Amino acid sequence: MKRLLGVALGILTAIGGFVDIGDLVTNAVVGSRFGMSLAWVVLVGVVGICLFANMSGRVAAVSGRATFEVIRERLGPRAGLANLGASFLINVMTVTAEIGGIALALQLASGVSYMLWVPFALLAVWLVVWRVKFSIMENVTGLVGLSLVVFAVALFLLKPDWGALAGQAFALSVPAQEGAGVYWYYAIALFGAAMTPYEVFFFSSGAVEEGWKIKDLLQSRINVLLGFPLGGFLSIAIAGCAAVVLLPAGISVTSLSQVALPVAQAGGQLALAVLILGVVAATFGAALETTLSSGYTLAQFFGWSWGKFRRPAQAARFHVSMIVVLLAGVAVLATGVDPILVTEYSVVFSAIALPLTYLPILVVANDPQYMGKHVNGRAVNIAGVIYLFIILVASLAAIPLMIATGAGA
Amino acid sequence: MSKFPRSRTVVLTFLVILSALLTGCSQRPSAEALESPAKEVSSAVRAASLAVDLRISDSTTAAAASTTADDMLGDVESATDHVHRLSAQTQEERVLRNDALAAFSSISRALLHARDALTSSSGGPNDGQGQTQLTTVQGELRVATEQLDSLMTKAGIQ
Amino acid sequence: MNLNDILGSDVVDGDGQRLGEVSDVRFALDAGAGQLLSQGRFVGIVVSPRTASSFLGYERQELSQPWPLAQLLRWWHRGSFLVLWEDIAVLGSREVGLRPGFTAYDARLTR
Repeated sequence: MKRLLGVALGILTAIGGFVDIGDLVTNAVVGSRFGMSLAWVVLVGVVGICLFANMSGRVAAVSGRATFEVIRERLGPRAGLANLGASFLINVMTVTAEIGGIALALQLASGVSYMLWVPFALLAVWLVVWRVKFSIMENVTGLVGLSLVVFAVALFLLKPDWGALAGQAFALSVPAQEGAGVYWYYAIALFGAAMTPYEVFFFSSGAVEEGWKIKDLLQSRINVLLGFPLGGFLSIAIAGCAAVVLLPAGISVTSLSQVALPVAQAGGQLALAVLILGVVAATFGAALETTLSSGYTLAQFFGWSWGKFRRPAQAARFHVSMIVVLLAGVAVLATGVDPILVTEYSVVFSAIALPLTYLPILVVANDPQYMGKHVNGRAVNIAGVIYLFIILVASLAAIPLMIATGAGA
Repeated sequence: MSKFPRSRTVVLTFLVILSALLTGCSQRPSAEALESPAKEVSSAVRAASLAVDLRISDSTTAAAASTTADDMLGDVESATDHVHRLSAQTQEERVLRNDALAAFSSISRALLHARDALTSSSGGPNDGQGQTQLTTVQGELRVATEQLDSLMTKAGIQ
Repeated sequence: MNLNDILGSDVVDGDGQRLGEVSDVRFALDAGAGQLLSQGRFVGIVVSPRTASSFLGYERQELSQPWPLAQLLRWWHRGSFLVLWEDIAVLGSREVGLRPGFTAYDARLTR
């Protein structure tokens, strides 16, 4: 019974933890501009993140090494450092976007400008990172983040023409009013939003934090294989709401307040309140995860003691680096840059940097010296190589597309 | 003696190239250059309209709806800045740019009114005065939207 | 001298002919831990004709999955060979010179 509860909890937190500000914004933007015609990318991204999380979780549980320890061992210090630099910068960008997301959601609730909420969000994130136990932090934000299911409920309440939506989703064609370049640019953004690298650092470091052993592999596999696809389903519901209400009205999403419009239309103030709660929880959870991830990556690379299972005084450099990252994110927000814009760039840069972390994990997951008999099976390897190809293509195409389309304008 | 004119030619050529580059870089207010700001503003005013509608039917809160109006005001401001930077050279371009700016500014004004009305609309459907104010603002947004739409049709922006 | 100075430097044979670049350095641990640590013995360098980039561990023959990646890396590093310490004449900062008549061993590692 206790075990079953554990599994259920794991799945629920995986659903709530999947959606962050990147998924919220990117899916709503895409839904309001392209309808459901990019839904297939979410599917591709979800399968990818399942594969990636499965491999890195297994490596962490079997070898006891988290992602960046493996990257440094496999690539050596020099290539590893370049890798760390890229991953760390994207992490800082994502922290910035998530803190902005918390502040924007609080503005939506209060009407008070988000700039005034930023210091509050910073303090709250730091306190939780500093004081709260890992499992409590994970489970609370994940469970409350589940209230984003309101998007799926809203989609039903809107009584859309399901056939037309499915038609858009399966047509696999570029909508007439948008160019092919913009379509593919947003395809990459959506892929990056679903496969953000911090999720994987966090997942594998979390496995070490929670002291996973080989016998826990089954449960982790269930969490991933059920939780992430359901999270992907939520992403599609976000796009669906935008496609049903905003696309026909000629509204293309540029702010979080617009993402809330379809939900308010479908479910009134109650739904709106649930939505705001969900957005705060999801962005707050993701802000914690990204902040911790930046601490994890630095500490794992440089060999500092890390982890929330240690007292902060025993992992001082780990905690200091997280404070620095949080302050850096807030400094970026203080310049007045639009957090939504930061979010849109952060998901694309996530896609660009993805091969840097994916390749070493794929290699090590096949290495019997690390993995013993738990190396990748044949099916996982076939999928792993196909995804290596997809990830490389998306990474290489992102910058040319960004320049050609003016970042999707 | 013979060196002086040559260096002048070099300087002149350089200036000609530079000015060509500068004019090439600063866009002119053609229909294409106006397309993206006009679409941005059109999307913004429609979103604000929807927010006012939702507030009238009490589906959304004053805070959320006024946040939408405020965000949309920001979008219109950035689009206006963009159009201000376009340099008109012919009479035709000047007229087009001024028409666009006029449409944007009446939308800006309507959005400001909408934001104020939404912020102060506390009572929901029972608040008679608030409802009247919102309906007035809604009318203003509609008129401004139509002005922009007809301009976009005239300029050939679909 | 740091290992970083050797890695990636050019390798020439006795006649000054360029053979490739140093892509790896092999060590052996001969004894158990001594007073401080067990001594690492410099066995030799791996010379790769094309690239000084990492083998990513695919020099070990038991590592053969995922197949396309293993093939790609082995193909990229084809013609790599191991030169023992005794056959190295100069270990300069710019290039590594080998003695005439050096022996090129197979760079692959088997169990």
